Amino acid sequence: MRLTLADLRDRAGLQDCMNRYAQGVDQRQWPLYDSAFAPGAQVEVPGYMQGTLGFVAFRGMLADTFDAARLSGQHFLGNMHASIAGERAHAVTEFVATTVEVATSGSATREVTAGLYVDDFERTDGVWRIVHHRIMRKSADAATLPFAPPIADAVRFTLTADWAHALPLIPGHS
Amino acid sequence: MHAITDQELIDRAEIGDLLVRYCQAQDQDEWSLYEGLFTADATIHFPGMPMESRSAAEFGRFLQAFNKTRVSGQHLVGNTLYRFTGNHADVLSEALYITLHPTETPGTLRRVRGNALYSDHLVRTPEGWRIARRDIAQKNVEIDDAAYDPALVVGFKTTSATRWFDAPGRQS
Repeated sequence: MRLTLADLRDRAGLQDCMNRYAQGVDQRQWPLYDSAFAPGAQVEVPGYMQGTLGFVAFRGMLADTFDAARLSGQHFLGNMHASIAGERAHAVTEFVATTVEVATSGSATREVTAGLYVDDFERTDGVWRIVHHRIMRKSADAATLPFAPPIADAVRFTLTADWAHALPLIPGHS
Repeated sequence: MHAITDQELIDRAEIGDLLVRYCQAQDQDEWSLYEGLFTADATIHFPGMPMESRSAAEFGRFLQAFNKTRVSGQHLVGNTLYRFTGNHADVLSEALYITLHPTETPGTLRRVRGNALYSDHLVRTPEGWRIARRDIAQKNVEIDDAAYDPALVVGFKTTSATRWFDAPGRQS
């Protein structure tokens, strides 16, 4: 397949969209998360919840369910394969997610989950956004590990820090 | 937010190259790749960690010394978001890493696995984009000792000792 500059721009735009989603979730920058979705976008997690949920309700679930104990998270993306047809696109992206939650003082639960994001996108005003986000898990590995309080403080910093660099990346803010 | 322009594609690719060169320099012990990554007065900071900020040059020397005993290392960088303001750029990336280190017990290596954020401020210079400031924040660190087949360890050391950026067929 011969690629054009337009193909490269589209790929960069789709990658940007997925990165806004992952960084929004991981740095708890919810406006950045919201910017990854088109109005009315749906999220589906087969095996975890039935049916679909709007992306706003899904965001509420992420924040309400996980934030109390959360120390950090990283949803590392790779191997994106995208097909683009006009103003629509479909992409399959691998992820490896590492999340850390406080278990007790001096210990933490670390979970590594691998899986796929399967996304449908639409482009509006030149910007790609997700209309349907499907999370398919492939493996999970959880362990309780010693986590010295100074390390926990440093790790928690990544959640509480004002990542001033990240916020202006939100569409409409730059 | 706007549609991505051709110039922005080039800028992203040039900055992406810098992010990769930083990782390859320390992981493949190829310090020529570290040259030209940073501005002359660039600094590196470790927010939240008990480590003092230092110049990029000083940190490069620290990493080179650190690598003298290291068996192997891999830093993957991804999820990068870019913001351009004229000749300046702010870039935020995730990093996923694993390094192996010798212990006093034969057949046992100390394994360090972690997740981090790289927050970079870059400037466009006549020579191209350069990192003026890097903040490295840790998200997770796991350290344990693991038993390895000695043959596997020889393989790891070969990976680290090979000069992968020499011309093809000339690796030593």
